Order: sequence, then C-alpha cells, then structure tokens
Amino acid sequence: MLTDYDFIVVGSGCSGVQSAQTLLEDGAKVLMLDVGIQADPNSSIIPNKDFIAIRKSEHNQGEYFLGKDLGGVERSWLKNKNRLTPLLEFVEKTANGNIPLSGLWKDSFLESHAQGGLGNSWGRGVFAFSPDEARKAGIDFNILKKGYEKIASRIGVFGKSKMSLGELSGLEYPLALDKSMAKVWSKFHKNKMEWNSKGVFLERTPLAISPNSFGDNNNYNDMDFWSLENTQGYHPGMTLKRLHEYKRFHYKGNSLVDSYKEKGDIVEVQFSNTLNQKIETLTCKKIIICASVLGTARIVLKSNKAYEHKLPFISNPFFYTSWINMSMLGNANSVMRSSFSQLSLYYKIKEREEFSLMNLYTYRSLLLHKLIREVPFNFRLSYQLINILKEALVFGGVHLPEFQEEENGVQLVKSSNNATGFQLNIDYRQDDKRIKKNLSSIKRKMLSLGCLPLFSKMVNPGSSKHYGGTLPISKTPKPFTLAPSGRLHGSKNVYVGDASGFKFLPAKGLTYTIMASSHLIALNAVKKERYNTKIQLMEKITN
Amino acid sequence: MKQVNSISKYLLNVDISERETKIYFDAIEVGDYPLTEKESYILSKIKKSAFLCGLYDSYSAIWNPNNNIRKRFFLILSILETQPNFSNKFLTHLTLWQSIRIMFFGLIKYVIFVVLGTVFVNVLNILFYVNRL
Repeated sequence: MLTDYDFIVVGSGCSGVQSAQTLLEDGAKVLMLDVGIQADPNSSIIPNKDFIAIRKSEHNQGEYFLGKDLGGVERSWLKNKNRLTPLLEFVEKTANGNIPLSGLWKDSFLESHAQGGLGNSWGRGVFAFSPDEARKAGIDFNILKKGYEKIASRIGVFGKSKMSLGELSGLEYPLALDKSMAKVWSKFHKNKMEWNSKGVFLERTPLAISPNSFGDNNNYNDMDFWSLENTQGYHPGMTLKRLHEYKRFHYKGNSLVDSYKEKGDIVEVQFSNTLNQKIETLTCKKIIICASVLGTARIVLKSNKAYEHKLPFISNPFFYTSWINMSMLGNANSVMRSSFSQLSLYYKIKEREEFSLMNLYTYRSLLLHKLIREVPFNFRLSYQLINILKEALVFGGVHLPEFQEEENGVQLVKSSNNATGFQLNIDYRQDDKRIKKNLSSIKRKMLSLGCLPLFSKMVNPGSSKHYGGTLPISKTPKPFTLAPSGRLHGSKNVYVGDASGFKFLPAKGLTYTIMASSHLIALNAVKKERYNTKIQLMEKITN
Repeated sequence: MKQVNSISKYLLNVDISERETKIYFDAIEVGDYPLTEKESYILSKIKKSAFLCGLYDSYSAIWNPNNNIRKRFFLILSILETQPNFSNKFLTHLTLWQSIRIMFFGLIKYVIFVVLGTVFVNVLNILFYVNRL
C-alpha cells in the first residue's frame, strides 16, 4: 500500500496543529494541507515592548494599531467589525471567494482560511467540559480528561477554577487580577455562600498564558491582540513552528481541500491551489479533517455528493455588555493589566437549565477611540467621558449554552454565482427572548457587585464563532455521524478532529476541549493505523 | 494643515505637527472618505476655527451622527490616539474631582453648543443653497 503520506491533516487551527503533533510524536509522516492566509506583515514591525511603552514612544504605532492605510479606522466607524484588531483581520479573509456562505446571517458565520484558523482570535480562556457536559456533547469524560492533561502540558494552562477546570485545576494563575477586577472579586466573596446558594459562581478565568513554554510572564506586555510575535498567550502558530522541526512534517499552503475519496485502504485527497486554481491530488492512509465546523461540513458533504442534505448545526448565542465599576471612579487601575478575561461569572436563569457564562474584561489595549465612537455626544464630550471612565470600564462577553434545534442546519447547495459552483447555506434561528432574559438577569447580578450597566450589544447569530454538531458523535453507525473514535461512520480512514461531533455546546469556550479531543482522535487514528500495519505484516509473513 | 489643526484643537485642545497632518491626508487619499458638495462647503467654513468645528459636531452628533465630516473627525481622533506626543491625553488617570469638574462644564458646554450648532448649521445650509442659485 503505497501512499504519499501516512496522514493528511486538513487545516492549521487549534485542532489541526494538535492532531499533527500527536501523529508526529508517534512517528507518522504527516502532510498538513492549509489555505494558510498569513497575518499582515505589519506584525513584524511591532517592537518587543509592553503596550504602554509602545504608546509612549513609537511613532509608527498607527501602522499596526490602525492597520494598513489606517483601514482599521473605517471598520471602527462602520461599527461592524470592531471586535477584531487590524492584525487579526486575516482570520476572516477568505481565499478568492471559495465556496461562499449563504443564508440570513452569512456575514457572521465564518470558515477561516487563516494560518492558525479561528485559534488566532481565541481569547485564551481555558475551559474544560464537566463530566455531565461531556456526556451531553457525546464525549466520554474519562478519556477526554487525558486529552486535557496532554494539551495542558503542551500549551501551558494556568488557573485554579472549580467551574472552569473542575478536577483538572491545580496550577497558579500567571497574571494577577487588576484593581478593578479585584474589587468585584472581593465584593462577591463577602457574600459568596449566598451567591453560590442562588447558583451564581464567580471564578478567576484560567488562561493559556504560559511562562514556561512560550514566553516570559514576568514581563507581560499586553500586546496579544496586536501581535503574533513576542506575546505570551498561546496561539496555534506557536505549535506550527514546532511541527516544522520534525523532518516527517510537511506543510502545503495555498491548498483548499475540496473532497476526499476512499479507494480500498487509501484515501485520495483532492485540493485546489488558491493561487492558480489548479486541482491536485495526493494520497494518504488516513485523513484527519480539522477544517473548523463549516469547512469540515463542506468537505464531507462534497465528498459524499450529498448536495441539499441538511446537517444539524449549533452555535453558542453571544452578546457583549459593558459596565462601570462604581468603586473605581476616581481611582487608577493597575498598570500591569491583561486584555484577556479575568473573571468568569457562571449563572443559571432557571435551576434546571445549563449554566450561562459571562467573562469579564477591563479595557485598555483596544484603544479608546472605538469606545468614543459608541457614545452619542459630540466627540469632545465623548472623549472626555470615556477618558474619565476608562479606569472603571468593565466589559462582559456572555455566552449561552446551546443544544441542537431541529430547524438549524447547513447544506451544500449548487450555485451559479461563483466559480466553484457551490455554496454553503446556513439556516439558523436564534431565540432572542432567551438573550433578553439573560441580559436582565446579569444586570441585577452586576448591580449587586457594584457595576452599573452602560450599554449592551446584541450581535448576529454565529458571531460567537463557537460552532458544532454537524456530524454528531453516535455509537450507532448512521450516515453523517462520527464514531466516538472520531472516525466518520461509513468510512474506513476518514477522521474529523474539530468540534463537528459535539452535540451540545456549553456556555464555556470550546478551544481547550477541541484541542483535547483532536489529540485523542489523532491518537485513535494512529493506533488504528499501527494495528492495520501489524495485521498486514502478519498476513505477508503467513503468506 | 489648518483644517486638521482646527479639528485637533477642538477634539483634544492640541496643535498637531506636519507628521500627523500627512498621515491624515494620506489616509483620506487611499481610504473611503468622500464628501458631498454640501459637506465640502460646510467643511470649508468650519475648518477655520475649532469653535465652529465644535458647533457642527455637537449639532450632527444628534441629527446626523454618521455623516462624512464626522468620519474625518473620527479619523483625526484615532491618529491622535496613536501618536506618542498625545498618548498622555488617553493614558493619564484623572482624579474624581477633576472628572466631576470636566463632566459638569463639559455637559453645560455641550448643551449650549447643540443649541448654537443647530442655528449655525441651518444658516450654513441656507447659505449653501443661496450660493448654488
């Protein structure tokens, strides 16, 4: 059985790089196929200094804070993409309009073609599924736990948190709470028992900021959203760099995987070069698709010629809130500050419901002019107001848990509107009443913690970038489902390493679980391959 | 240069250098900052003074917050924020009393500017149409 590679891994996001590392550690020959759009070269001109030092000394900071030709200013003005910094816009760039998305909320859903995928815009919050959440998602927690431990050893996971990490807790936090968050924290702890009895828990957010693996936290620079170099927060590019150290690792960029075909024990993978549209084919023993949920759905549906077939689809509803921490008015916040989530507030709307989660941030390194734009006064007064409130501002990103709903799904449909002849249609509805209920519930809680509501921003469905459920995990072999090992039912050598299998998405961030699960899936695939090779050898010897 | 300086004077009460002015004009050249005929006329009148910039901005913050002149004000604000010479304007901590004083006088000034700005912009509108006749 001669193939070009032992394994082909599709995509270089969090799941792709972790799968590839597992395969390489086991001695396999691996090819990573990836479109791999790279960050603006401006990121290389960012000096290795902390945020404040840059602001006070660098004359060319506008080039990276505002983007090439100050394009970031226009996007902030339009208010539609101000969540991303200019550096991270490459995460949303699509390769030459390949397979566009359609549907009511097509602009909010994303199949990233960036090198590092959606993992580049990950907020580095580390959350592990509880045994109950894992069961609902279709994953065996006892196995998943081993995956969590492995990934923690690779990327560095820091934090002690019962709700976020459960029994996996144990390591110290890399960064201290700033003054503002410390005040919220101490206010909560004065009545902790009472809060807990009402089902409300406040914990420090565990983060993937590692002093050991990738950086030095004694000199934390708060530049993680602006640069992919010299920063301390983990992103998949860090692992990708390490993968290149393996001689058995091969990376092929500008490659958009179109489909696969199984021929006996061989998988033939067809992909197009995004620069010249040339179609190429390579073979492997096994393929692990880690193209993020939408990309994976596209590849699987195309490979099975399942046009018009509707796959289920889930996404965490999400919205932003902002608050004024009253106890910070007139006080200066700590100079050493992180732009990542510092506190995680878990709460339930009804006792029998799943937890919702609000991650709390203080504001600094995303620059004030974006906030000034949000204030309805003239710019002078808006500037004065934001400048006064900046030390007291607290932001909350709220995620709600989500189960599969029958009407929500994705379909690959034929289309004459683009060169590929296909588009991925997303049919998705979100329960706005549920969001409003959550908003009024957290308003009451935050007021009790001394924070006045400022404004909240509803975002379109899909903006959370937390997707799953397209190929749900199932023990019984049904079409378009995954075996618990990650293998696509009905196939011999096709594995899916991203969140496509998760049947339930808790309100927690998914990245850590996706990485843990992809490691385990790669481990299953490589074990199976080793077993097959042994059998073949035995057969040869016997013959 | 004068146009940009009046706006920066209005926004942060600072004078800007040729460097920031160049960044502004370069951005306008490549970016999407068009002006209608009427907006060009208004900008030509208000660019002479920070006070007039304030009147126009106060009026349009209420009645037409997404107009193209305000977009240029916003561009200048973002340029100022990313220049080390002005970083203190965005990074310095204000005490509670400073904050109360600034907000108290700021709000009073804002209300006056909205009233005066409404009169001023309506006069400019009339002048614009008269000039066109």
